[in-house]
Amino acid sequence: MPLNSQAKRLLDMLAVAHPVDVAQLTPAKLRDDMLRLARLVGVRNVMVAAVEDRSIAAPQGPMRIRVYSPRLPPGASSDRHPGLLYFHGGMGVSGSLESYDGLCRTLANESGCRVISVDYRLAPEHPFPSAVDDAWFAGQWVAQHAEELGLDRDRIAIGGDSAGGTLAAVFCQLAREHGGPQFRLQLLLCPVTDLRARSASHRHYGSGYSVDPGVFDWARKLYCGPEADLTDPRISPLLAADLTNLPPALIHTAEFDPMHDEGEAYARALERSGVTVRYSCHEGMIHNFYCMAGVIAQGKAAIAAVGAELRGALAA
Amino acid sequence: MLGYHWLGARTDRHTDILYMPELSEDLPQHRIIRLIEGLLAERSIERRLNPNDDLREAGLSSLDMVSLVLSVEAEFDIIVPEVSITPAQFRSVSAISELVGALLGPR
Repeated sequence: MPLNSQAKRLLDMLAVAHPVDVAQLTPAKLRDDMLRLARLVGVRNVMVAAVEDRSIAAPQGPMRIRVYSPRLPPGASSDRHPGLLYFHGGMGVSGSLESYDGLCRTLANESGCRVISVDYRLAPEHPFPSAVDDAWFAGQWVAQHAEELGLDRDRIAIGGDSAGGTLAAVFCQLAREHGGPQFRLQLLLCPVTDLRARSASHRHYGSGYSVDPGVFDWARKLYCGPEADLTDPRISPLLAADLTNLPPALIHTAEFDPMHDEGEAYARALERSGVTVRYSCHEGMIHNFYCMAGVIAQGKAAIAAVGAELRGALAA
Repeated sequence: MLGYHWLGARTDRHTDILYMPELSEDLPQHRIIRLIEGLLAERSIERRLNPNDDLREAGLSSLDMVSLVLSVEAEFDIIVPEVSITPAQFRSVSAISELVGALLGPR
């Protein structure tokens, strides 16, 4: 498929300006840009039944979570919801509850899940493995507090997009190794599964398709810190030696995304290891399209389809 | 006057068009300058724009450009065709005014 025309339009608008000067880039600027992007081109004005901000006591200090209750059809029972524990993207340096608010609202309504969005710690203030530690804590906390959160413990998915997809995938691997909570399934949207970034899709779409290669390298250095090994499966879950006995996976990639190949490779590798996988590639789409669904109609339809898929997979 | 009845309400914008025809040729440019100065102000950049200033040099980032294209479309109720979303067409206030003028057609 060719590049989607609305995605192309957006890329053309971004390309009107000078390319990003990485020497001038700061984490604060990247975070602000992510929020502005969401407000400019993300879905807006999505009403859910309720939104609750909470602070939970993580070992390293208070952690913010935001709980979204979906709008339900009249008469639907709302005492026990299916759940989605969600980790936002942003290369481990940016992304926030706020910049993912529209996406989480949409996912809640479309899936019928109560969505729990996690404000995990970001680099460079908190480089790897802080985000993994936070994901590990958040997953255990949600499993332990399912009842309090109004969740049906047997129908909770863990998911995320991009770097948040990495965290969801890594959580599932850690839970298997360390006897942690098992979630019903993993939802990975355009996940980063091999941070070495050597695939053909990185070569083809690494530049000019919504992920700036200079920014990618810059963020990767900040996230990993000077010590981290890119082949550590907590950074690159595709490189884990054992991918058996993991929760069923719903994996979505975008055709014109540098991370396309590693998302697909993770789907294939899980399948080979006996894990049930449903894999979809969104043709014509770019990385982060789900955060641009205000101006990319296909992106909006894709989120609805992801939600419907999740709803079906979590049906009692 | 068609627009007046059709919209049912008279906005400032239509008042401008209806009652200040002698200024109408200048209006798009002024409106574009207001949009851009608003974008710059959001980024705490205080500056007066001249019609031929290069907007990229003025400090507009890629997201500002997205915002600019979308707000020009909303302001003038036009759709900028893909071929016109280029650095050249959005280089300056005067380049954008020319584009908007061409898209609005003769009025």
